[in-house]
Parts: sequence; structure tokens; C-alpha cells
Amino acid sequence: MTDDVIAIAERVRRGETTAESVAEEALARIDARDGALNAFLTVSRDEVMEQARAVDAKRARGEPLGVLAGVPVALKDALCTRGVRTTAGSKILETWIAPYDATVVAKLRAADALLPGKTNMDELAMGSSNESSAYGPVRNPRDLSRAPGGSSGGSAVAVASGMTPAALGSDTGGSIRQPAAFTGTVGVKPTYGRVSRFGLVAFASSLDQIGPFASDVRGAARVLSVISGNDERDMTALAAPVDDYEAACGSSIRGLRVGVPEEYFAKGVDPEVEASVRAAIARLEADGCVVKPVKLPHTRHAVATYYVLATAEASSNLARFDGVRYGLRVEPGARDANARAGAAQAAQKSALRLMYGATRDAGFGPEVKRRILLGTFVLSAGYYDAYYLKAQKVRTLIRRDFDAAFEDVHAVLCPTAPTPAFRLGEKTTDPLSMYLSDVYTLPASLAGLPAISVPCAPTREGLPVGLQIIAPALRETTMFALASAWESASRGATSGS
Amino acid sequence: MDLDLERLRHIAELAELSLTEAEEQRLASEIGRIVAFVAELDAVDTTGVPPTAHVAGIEPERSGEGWRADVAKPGLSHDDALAGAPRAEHDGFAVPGFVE
Repeated sequence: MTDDVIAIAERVRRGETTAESVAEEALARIDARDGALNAFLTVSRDEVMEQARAVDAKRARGEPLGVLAGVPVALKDALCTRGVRTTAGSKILETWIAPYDATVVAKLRAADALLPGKTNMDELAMGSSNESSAYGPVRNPRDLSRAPGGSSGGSAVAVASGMTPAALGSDTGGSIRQPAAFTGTVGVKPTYGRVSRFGLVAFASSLDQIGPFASDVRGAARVLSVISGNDERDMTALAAPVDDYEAACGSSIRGLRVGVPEEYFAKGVDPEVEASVRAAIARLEADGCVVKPVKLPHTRHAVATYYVLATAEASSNLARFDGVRYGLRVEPGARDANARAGAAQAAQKSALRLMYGATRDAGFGPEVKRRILLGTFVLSAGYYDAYYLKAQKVRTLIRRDFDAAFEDVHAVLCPTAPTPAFRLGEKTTDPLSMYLSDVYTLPASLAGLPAISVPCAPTREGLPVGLQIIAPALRETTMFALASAWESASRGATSGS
Repeated sequence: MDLDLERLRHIAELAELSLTEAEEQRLASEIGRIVAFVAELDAVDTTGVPPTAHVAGIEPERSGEGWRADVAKPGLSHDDALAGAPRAEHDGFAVPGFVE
């Protein structure tokens, strides 16, 4: 594999290729492959060629190049890009041009990365299959009848299909790791606060975190090192210094204690997923890790806890979409307003509130409305203590489970998702079954911990499976050491056979 | 169990969503099921357990962490701020009548 992040940056730096030809190749691949996949919502042809020529000119002038010089990085369409349409997968932002760059986008530009386009996603990041996108589902390149996972499915597929060597996604309850597992790519959710959220279209602010996808672990480490760090425009960004993630890749794992939580191998896990993940753990043990059982007893409450907290935060965050300052606006005539349920109430509403209702009704899809209503319900008078406050307390118990486990082990190893990629349409009629597919990624989100999904042996049908490695807060280096050790071992096993 | 329709309508009011009757029926059933599912949290003993609002425990009011210096800096220009507005008039956001 020579088309990975590190190899491209190195070739551009040495002058063995130009950023311009890398950009042309990325656009050609998108043109050739994306028709069947629907991973990109916007392709920034002119912009990416301009960025590439600027990188080449910089090199010609003898100036030092950034560590991502000439590396194409696709961006989830929830990330604001100055001058480029940013839809977040929703009709409510269909024509919105962001007036500023997200901090991560500015950092990628400063590292001389190329930004060829914006990727498809579940509407406003709400979904686990990409089927809630207002712009049609993304297809899994490993099997076009299957979902790529979500919500960052477009970014996962951009990397899995070789259109770009890396991409950024956002992960609220698994939205980077689960699509990485479903598509056979590497996906990282950093520690909450490690990466600035400024310029990310918000879903659930206490959980949202931006992170990379890449075709290999070291590439993901390099992209994460570029986008990490404090930011005065996000007060939840952490001031702690950023470790050398790339150096952690390839470092020794001998003597590392890794925990295996039996709760993640319980009822509901696909037998082939279990076998694949257990085989990866056995290989790490053979390579010098000490494997220990750990208990994370509150895992089974993660789905309920998450869907209370995330929807509550979403219902508040999404109040900003009101048809006034940006995005869609629908001003209904009296007849339209009366055609809606509650005509009597409609008659008493101001023109402004009728506009709010009509705009949000036209702009939001069914999953978003469902979550706004659930979130409004759990925050409403009389229910706040029973649902929202209760879920915040259970969140503490889930965090304490990990605190106790990490007294004993350096990292926790488990499956990323209970099953391989499911079929498009398989879970769309039952929101609860879709929510339950996130059961293994939600606990690390609720605890704010860094976690990576790295491919392990595929199923007999050839569907990818993800090994999830969860580390203590700000111990991304441990996570990368284990992930890269497993990657080397598994690649050695395939190429040697 | 379905969520009571009156309650659903009240929540939709609070959320500024205008739903059709068909949407109301579907959502009452779906949200009812989800609420019944999340009610499992009732059974968890949380006596004496503090709630988690922020995993990193940043408390700006107490420690000052997270605050930046209170110094004015250039922000979004007036034109940029209005560029995405569906209707702008007199250098501001235009809204329909709102006196109820």
C-alpha cells in the first residue's frame, strides 16, 4: 500500500510527485467511484486544485512543507468550510455556505492538506447507517447492498474505497468507530476535549468529538496529531500538551495489561465477530500483552443513558435552526398553517412562530424530529429528574466502571460493533433496533475516553470486523501502540500466507 | 405504550415543530416505545451518585480553566454574518410579525 497518508506526504515532500497530480488523481477516483457509493455531497474541484498548486509553489520556493503536504482529506459535511456548502446531511442547510472554517479545517489547511470535498452523513449526525441523510444513503464498498455505518458513513467510504487516504468524521456515540468497523478502515474517537469542536455542527455537545479515518493506523495518528490541541474558541478543549501519536505507533506493547470485558461478548454479539476479535486479542497476548478479564457492569445501561442525554442536548442545540439567521426558511400561508394538526392553536400563533414550525417541519427529516421530541420530553417539567438527571447519574456509574478497570489494565479490548455491516433498509423501520447497534461504542463516548476501531479478520462472507481499543483519558499513545501492533501482526499474517 | 397525544402536541409546541396528524400518530407510538425502553434506568441504584454534566470536570467558575482573556478581537464581519440569512433588511435579519 503506497497510497497511504505517510507515503503521499513523503512523495510530495521529496518531489517524487506533485500535490497537483495527487489532487487530480483524487478527483478522478471520486468521479470514477462515487456514482455507485454516494459518499460525497460536494466536490470542491477548483478549491482543491488551487490548494494543490499552492503546496507545489511553496515547495518550489524552498519553504518547509506541512506534515500533510499534498494529502487529500475528505471532510464530513458537519464541518464548516469557508466558502463551501455545509449541509450536515440536512435539507435545513441545503444551500448554506459556511462563513468560516472549523478549527480542524484551518489546522488541516495549515498542514498543507488538500480538501477535495464534503462527505455524506446521517442528517445532523443522527443515525447509525447513513440512511437518515436527506441526500440518500451511502453504500458500503465491500457490499453495495449494505450500510456503511453512520453517522460518518461518507467519510468512512471515501477512505475504504480509496478515493482519499484519510477523512475527518465526528463521533457522538460511535459515529466514527462503527462506520470504520463496517468498512474495514481505521477510525479514531479521541478523548473528549482533545480536538476543538469549533465549527462542528453540534449534535450533543457533551459527547461530540471530531476524529480521523485513515487506511492505516499511522496515517490516522498523523492526522490526529495535526487536529489536536487547545482552542480558545472551544472552552471544552483541553490544555494538556499533545503527545507524539505517530511515535507511539510501533512502540513496544510487551507487558501492557489489556482488559477484556465479558459484557461486550454477551448475548447479541455475532459469533463471527466474537471469534475475529478474540483471535486478535490472542495474537496480542502472544506478542507480549497480559490479558485480564475486567468488569464493566453498567454497559447494559449505556443505550438508554445515551438516548436520554444525547437527545436532550440535541433538542437544545437544534433550536438554532429557526429560519432567521441561516438555512432554510418557509413562510406558510394561512391555508398551509390550518392544514396542519392543531388548526385552532395555529390560529393563535404569530407569523414568526408559524414560520418556525413550517421551516423546521420542511427542513428536518423523521429521525431528527423523533430525537428533538424525545429530547424535549426528557427535559420537560415533571420529567427532568426521572429521565435526564437519572441518566446523568448513570453516566457517572459508567465512568466509574472504566475508572475501576483502568486501575488494573492499560486498555480495554472489545468488538466495535456487535455485528458486521447490516443491509440497507434492515433497521429503518425500528428506531430502537438501530439504537441498539451502537451498544459497544456508547460507553466510551459517555465516559469521554479515546477509542479506535482497527480492522481484524473479516467474516466468511468477507465483511469487515472492527477491534475496538479503549484507553484512559488522554492515553491515545497506548491506544495507537496496541492498534499498530495488531495491524502489523495482521498484515504480516496475510502477506506471509 | 403510546405517548399521550396531548403530551406529544405540547412537546411539539415547545420544540417549535408543526406536525401533521399522520406524523403525530407515528411519533406517539415510536416515542412511547423509546420512553418505555429508557425507563429501565429507574432500576439502577443511583443513591448518592452525583450527575455527570462534563466528563473532564472543567469548572470555569471555580478554576478559571476554559475561560479566555476578556479582550475584544475581530469576529465575523457584518456582511459575512448576514450572508446566510434567508431574508436580510436594513442591515439586519428580517423576521415575520411576532406580537401575539
